[in-house]
Amino acid sequence: MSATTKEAAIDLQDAHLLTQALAREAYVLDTNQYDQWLELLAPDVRYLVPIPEWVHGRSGAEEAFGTGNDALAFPYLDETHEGLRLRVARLQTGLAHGEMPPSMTARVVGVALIEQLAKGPAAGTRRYRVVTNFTLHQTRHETRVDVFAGRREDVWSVGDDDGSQVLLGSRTVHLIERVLPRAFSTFF
Amino acid sequence: MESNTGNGWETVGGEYFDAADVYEQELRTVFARSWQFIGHESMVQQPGDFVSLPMGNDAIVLWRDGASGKARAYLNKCRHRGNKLCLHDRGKANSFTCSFHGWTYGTGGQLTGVPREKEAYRVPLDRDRLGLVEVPRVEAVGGMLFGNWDPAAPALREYLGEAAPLLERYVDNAGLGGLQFLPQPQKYIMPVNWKLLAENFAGDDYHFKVTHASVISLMKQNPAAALSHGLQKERRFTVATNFGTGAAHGFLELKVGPEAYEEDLAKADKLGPEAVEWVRHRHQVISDGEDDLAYAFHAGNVFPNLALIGISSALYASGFLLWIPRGPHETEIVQWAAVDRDAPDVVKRRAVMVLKDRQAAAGMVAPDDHENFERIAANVRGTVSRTVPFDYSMAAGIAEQFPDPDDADYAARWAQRGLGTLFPQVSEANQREFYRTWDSYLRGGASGAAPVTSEPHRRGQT
Ligand code: FES
Ligand SMILES: [Fe+2]
Repeated sequence: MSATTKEAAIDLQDAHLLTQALAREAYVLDTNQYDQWLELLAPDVRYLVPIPEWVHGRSGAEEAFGTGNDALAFPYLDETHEGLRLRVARLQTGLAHGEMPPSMTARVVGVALIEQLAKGPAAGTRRYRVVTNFTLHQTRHETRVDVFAGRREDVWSVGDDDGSQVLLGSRTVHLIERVLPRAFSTFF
Repeated sequence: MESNTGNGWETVGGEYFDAADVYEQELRTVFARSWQFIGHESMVQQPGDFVSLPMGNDAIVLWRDGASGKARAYLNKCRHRGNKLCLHDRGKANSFTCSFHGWTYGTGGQLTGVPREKEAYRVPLDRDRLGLVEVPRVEAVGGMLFGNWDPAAPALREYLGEAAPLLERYVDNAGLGGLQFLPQPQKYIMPVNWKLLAENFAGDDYHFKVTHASVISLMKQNPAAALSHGLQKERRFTVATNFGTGAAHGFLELKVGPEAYEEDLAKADKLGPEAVEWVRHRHQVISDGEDDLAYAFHAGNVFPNLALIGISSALYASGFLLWIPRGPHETEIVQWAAVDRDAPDVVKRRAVMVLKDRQAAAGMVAPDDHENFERIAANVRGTVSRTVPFDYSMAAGIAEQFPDPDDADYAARWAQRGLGTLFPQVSEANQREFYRTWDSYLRGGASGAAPVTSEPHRRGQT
């Protein structure tokens, strides 16, 4: 027996709310309902997409993906709620050619690994580490389909007054593409 | 000052952005004989430090050699059966051992190890013949390293010509500690011919208001968003270096007047006194006591495939973009962020975030460029469509470039500084210059300094 063959049971109701939220998120993004997506994000959300690379001398997961915590880094995205809101506002100007007409996208989110973390951010809330793999297929022109794929390391919180609010507190997106298929204004 | 007479490149055939044989010819001429950016001294500071990067469509390793102390560039290729040797993007190694049969190479490129040499080869192997293939010419301006496969190429400084002092002053200024490159470049594909990207950075200020209308609109709605680097009212120019003579390196949005500096001071104020002090100091170092020198330029293209962005501000990191040819219709962008080494951390962090938000893979600018280029690329593939040339005739042959006499006066004074020829901010002079230079390489020029001719290379005619 090893640690990986034992799982800590988590609250089924919370697990259900979390998987619903993940599906909801993919749905609102695929249907360009960006304002609703922003509502899923905690006000102090951190949304990070570091650059994947192979660094000689590192080991384990860090050899390929790095730590995402370099003191001074040039990530693809490292956003606060305000940064994401600005990006959404740009898409909604009606002038963002890169999304006119809007891309056709399909996000496929894999089964979620859910682990409860020590404490919720506020009284009455519970915090979870949620890990999912995803692919995002994006079509803008006749035959070209661009694919993004990777792993998302999230922290979500569940519960508030009525017990059902689910918010994304932080996300690190580890893309597996060394060279991204396109410049992008999409979210993973 | 020189008038913007046409140079024969008022139109450029659509097939130059599509035909496979033209593309192959570019690789064998432009990319084999011109100076290309291959990294920065700061990327490989210690002996053994290395980074992997492309040069043209070849993979190279920039490696700090312990013995000579030099940053040297080698093809990332084992001399035995051609296996890829260096497998990481960056790191530190005193040797690389090939994963196929185990040949080992040192930082000087020498073959240092051959497994079972005696038993297998019987006689000693001529190791000198089988060292790594080295880029024969590596020269630097500031800390910026350029490589050239042509042993007979003119010196880098001569090739850069009027661009060299511009780069040393505005881009990689030793008085500011030189540039510090962040180690990880962003990498992304633009599905279009590399020349359209290069000419865009060299001279296309014209597209900004339409292509990037969403950003302009956003800046107007969110004046506090600190995204603005494009709405000031100062005097703006395009700079053509080596106009009509040498390799054409073009620069955009030269900012003359106090506005850009004042805007930087106002933004720095929000970051604290350290940032304000830095903006002042930086301005002093760059202007070097010359009052009416431009504050900055915004973007540019060093022929053939190094583009610069964000040079315009102390609070905007310098973006270095390599246009890597991956086919007639595909360009890989390798984009680094660099900051002035002596800048305070608060400025460095802010500057990198601004670059990330603007001209970068997930910025608010590049996706709209991407869209237009992808549409154009589709449109040069049609059998009829590819025969229809693009138009570059803007103000060609107009002797009086500047309706405003103050502009004309400033341009005349600028020319005397030896920093290039000024054109109006919205101009196609640099695009025509780009194709003049490109053509001279395709015709066999080794230096890019072939004379301007009235009959440019035309497919099927030369
Ligand atoms: S290919 Fe490298 S040792 Fe044989
Ligand atoms: Fe642009």
